[in-house]
Amino acid sequence: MSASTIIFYIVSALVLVFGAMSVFTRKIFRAAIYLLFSLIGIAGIYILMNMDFIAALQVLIYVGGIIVLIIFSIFLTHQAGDKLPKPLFKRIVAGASMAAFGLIVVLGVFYKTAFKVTTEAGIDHSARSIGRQMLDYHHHGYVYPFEIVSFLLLAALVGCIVIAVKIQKK
Amino acid sequence: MGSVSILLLMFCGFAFAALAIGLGNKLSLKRYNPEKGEAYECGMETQGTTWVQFHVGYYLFALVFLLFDVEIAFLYPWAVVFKEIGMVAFIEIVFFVLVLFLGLLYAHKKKALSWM
Amino acid sequence: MEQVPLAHLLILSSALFFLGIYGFFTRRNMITMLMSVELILNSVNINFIAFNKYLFPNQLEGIFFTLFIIAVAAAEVSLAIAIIINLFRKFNTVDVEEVDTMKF
Repeated sequence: MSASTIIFYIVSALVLVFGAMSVFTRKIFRAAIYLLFSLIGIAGIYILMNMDFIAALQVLIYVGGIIVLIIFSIFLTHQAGDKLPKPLFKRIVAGASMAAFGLIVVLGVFYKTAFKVTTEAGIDHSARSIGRQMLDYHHHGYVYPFEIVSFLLLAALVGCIVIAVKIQKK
Repeated sequence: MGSVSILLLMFCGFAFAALAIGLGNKLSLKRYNPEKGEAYECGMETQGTTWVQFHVGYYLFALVFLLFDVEIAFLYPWAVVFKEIGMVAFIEIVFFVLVLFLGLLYAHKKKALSWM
Repeated sequence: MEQVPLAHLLILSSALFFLGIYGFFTRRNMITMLMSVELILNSVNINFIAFNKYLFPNQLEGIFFTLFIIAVAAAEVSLAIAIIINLFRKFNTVDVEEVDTMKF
């Protein structure tokens, strides 16, 4: 057991604990902060897998953007110090049993499936090779989704502004 | 070898923070006094809690920031390989940025970027 | 990192996924439901990256899927929050069960 595997288990325990705290806590602002720690831990897991670019994206977009937006939305709609009401017992039982059942099924499928793990080194997953394949337009390139993403972002921007400016005028 | 040092660094970081906060808490002298809790020297007495509702303008700024953040994420791998691909990459990125520039123009026209 | 078996990464991602599912079904507050959706999307991303790293190290497909999932998640969150704020202005609540009147 080398040091990097120990780091992996520590980080994944942190991810799961903070994820659970963000789901179970009854203070909404704390839920957002726990979610932030969980997402940072996931970035750490990407770094341990040598996926530096994806880890940077995770920190840049999820931690720096999405969580900030969620926190702003909490401030816009809540007295953020307030406690959320307790979920109904019926609902806890239903949700927990559904989640446990799904987890057992999925883990059972994973256990049955024989994944062919290769040990060959493979290509490097740096931003250079990602960019080369992203801008490529004949062999398995991703230039078409790349251009479509710009339309998606444009549509999101226009939609949000249409909705939010209407609020501002009120 | 490298990851042993990272593990050690992680441990030392946690230990240092815990030690500093814990010892500071343990050793310091605590005497509560209402005068000490006030805002220092000047200004009005603050009223209410700090948990107040924000104006919707904050949301618009965060939104525009987030969407252009995603654009940067796609620009970075392009910038790394721009030199070796050349003209084709340039046309692709011009199209990409132009579409998002339309969004920026729309935001500007709807006065989403002007404060309040 | 080579010593960590693929199964452990899959256990991590599926535990995170079903935490998100649990939160999505028990919470009635729209913003916390949105946070649960974020957990679900992140567990999917871990899965894509792990499969790319362990099963197909000669390709980049998992990375591209993660990249586009992150972009789509950003757009989805911003729109969802715009809708939530609009609903809050109309109904003065973010509870999904109280928002049950349609416009017409």
